Amino acid sequence: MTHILRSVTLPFIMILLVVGFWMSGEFREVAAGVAIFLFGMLMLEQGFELFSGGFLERILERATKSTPRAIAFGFTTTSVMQSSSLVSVITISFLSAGLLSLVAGVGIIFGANIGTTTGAWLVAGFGLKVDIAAFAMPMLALSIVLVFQKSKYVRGGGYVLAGMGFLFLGIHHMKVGFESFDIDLSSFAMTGVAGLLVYTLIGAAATVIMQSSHATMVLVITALAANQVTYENALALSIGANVGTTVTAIIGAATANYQGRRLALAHVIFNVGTGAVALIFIVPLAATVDWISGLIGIAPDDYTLKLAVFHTLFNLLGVVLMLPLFHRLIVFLERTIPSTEPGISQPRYLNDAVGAFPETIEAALTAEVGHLHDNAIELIAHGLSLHRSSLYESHDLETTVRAETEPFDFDIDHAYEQRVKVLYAAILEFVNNRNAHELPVETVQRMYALRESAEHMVGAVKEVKHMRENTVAFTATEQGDISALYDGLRTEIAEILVALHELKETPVADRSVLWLEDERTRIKSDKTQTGGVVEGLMREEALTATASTSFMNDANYAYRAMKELVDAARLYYGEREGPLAEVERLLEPDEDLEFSNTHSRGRSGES
Amino acid sequence: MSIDETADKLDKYRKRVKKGKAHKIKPKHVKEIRQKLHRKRGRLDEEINNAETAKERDRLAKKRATVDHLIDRADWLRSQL
Repeated sequence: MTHILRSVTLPFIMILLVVGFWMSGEFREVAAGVAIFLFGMLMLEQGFELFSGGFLERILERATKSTPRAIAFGFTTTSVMQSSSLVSVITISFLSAGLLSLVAGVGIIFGANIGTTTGAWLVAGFGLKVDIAAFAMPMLALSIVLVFQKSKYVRGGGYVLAGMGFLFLGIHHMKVGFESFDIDLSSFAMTGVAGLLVYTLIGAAATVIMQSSHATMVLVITALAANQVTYENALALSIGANVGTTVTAIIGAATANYQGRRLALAHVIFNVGTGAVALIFIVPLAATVDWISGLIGIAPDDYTLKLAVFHTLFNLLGVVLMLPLFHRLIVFLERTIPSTEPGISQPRYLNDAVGAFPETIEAALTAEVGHLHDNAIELIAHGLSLHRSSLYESHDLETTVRAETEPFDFDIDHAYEQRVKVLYAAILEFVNNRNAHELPVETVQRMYALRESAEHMVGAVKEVKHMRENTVAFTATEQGDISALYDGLRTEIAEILVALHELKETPVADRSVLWLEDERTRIKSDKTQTGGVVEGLMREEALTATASTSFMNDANYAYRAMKELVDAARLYYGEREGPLAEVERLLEPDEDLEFSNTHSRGRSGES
Repeated sequence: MSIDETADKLDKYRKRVKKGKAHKIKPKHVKEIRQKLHRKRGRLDEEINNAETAKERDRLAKKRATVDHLIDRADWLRSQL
């Protein structure tokens, strides 16, 4: 449906523009002004994106610890960047990556709505009062020098300056176009309720087409300044611009996860609700605008500034009305759009909304690989008839493992496909689709380390899949030495699962992968030792050659699984590339070396 | 792993630093990792006290010995910086 609508809309707009150009030179000027203005916004967004990769994200993380802070952040950033779209995109990215709470995200969106109103003030108060084009030209000339510099931040500054220059130039052309219009567009003015509704719809449609409420507002203000639109209709157009911007949010959330969709719904509720309130109370609101304008010294006939007052007033009113309902709104959003269904392991954190920001990429990938780890460890434990909770609480792991004999009734191959492979595929796709050239080296290194960690974890599950059948068969009922041997393997794997759990539960600042050194260095010696035990049992004729061969195959799977688990954890929980990672590398023994005290662990069945 | 092996690794590390291919380590970094190891040692002490069997105690004591080796190595490394 959306596809059909798009394919019809595009030719329609193109034809409309061509006819307009052919009929009116002034229309050409206004349309060019809008195009230049939108191009300026794109450059502004591109410029601010270059400041991401640390700067914006750090502010975002700090500035959203409470709802008032989140609102203030949304207001400030949108005012500075003059783009609520960019703020929304960053917010959805952070929300999708799990770096931001829904409460903070909604707060930012509320603040961003107030922030967009500063654009109207700038245009009405500055853009129309001075020769704005005189500023635009030097800004563009200076910006191009900066854009060609090597430093990312200088380039970002260049794009921002160029963006501002194009915004100014666009406003100038819109102003000139409207001023010289031969046709009196105000003759199409409508009054009363019909006028309100029709112009609200026009404002919304213009915002949907231009994908920018800011552009609509500038167009309305310049038309109002040239008396091409009445003040009454301009008020309705500004309400429409607010409503229309929700369509951009809905489109943006289409590829987001449930958190992104919740945020889009909050955006729709806020803007449509605020718009409805503004339409219903348009008369008292207009009177309040007159009163405020009188108070702050705006002339009664300065309709452009009065429009800016109105725009700010009804957006502020929206926030004031919504704040007491804030927590109910969050509950409503969480109920209306539930989180991923339990039991079905779809990727939770990796989606298009994560965006191209290094912090969100890393956070989302870390969370998703952690999700894969959880599922894989569950499968490994259940595949070996072990309950994770029993292992994690045990004070005598060997006895606990020996007591766990009841097999889990599940198809491990099916579970692997559904709960591990699907996540691994999503992780591979996500990493491969990131443009490594545009990301900081540290982020790329971390991304690859996380991908490798997922690969090792998948490997561990595959090894356990191979050994499961015999392990279950020989541990479900007591069968002497062979049961003890399999229990020995299960215990060794369980020890690693417990070690991994401990790392997971310990805060990042307190843990080190060196905690796994005992497990890591012991795998090889344990394997050798197990081989010795089996040979001893064969000599004593306690184990047949067939049973021994079968067990040794399974032992190989088990030790490979252990190594994969330890490698997965070392990559996942290891320090980020830096001095601490260097210290860990210096302290850990080489792959084939063992500590002089590497111990032999006793187990029943040992001779 | 003996001190000699750590010393070899340290030499290689220093060569990488000279080439600008490694991050410079300061004593505070070693101290931080040492604190993490010390924390683990404390936990193992607690687990040993709570262990229900001699075998489990023995297993945990050996893990603690590994951590002790790493702490010794960290102390040596700090003295070399």
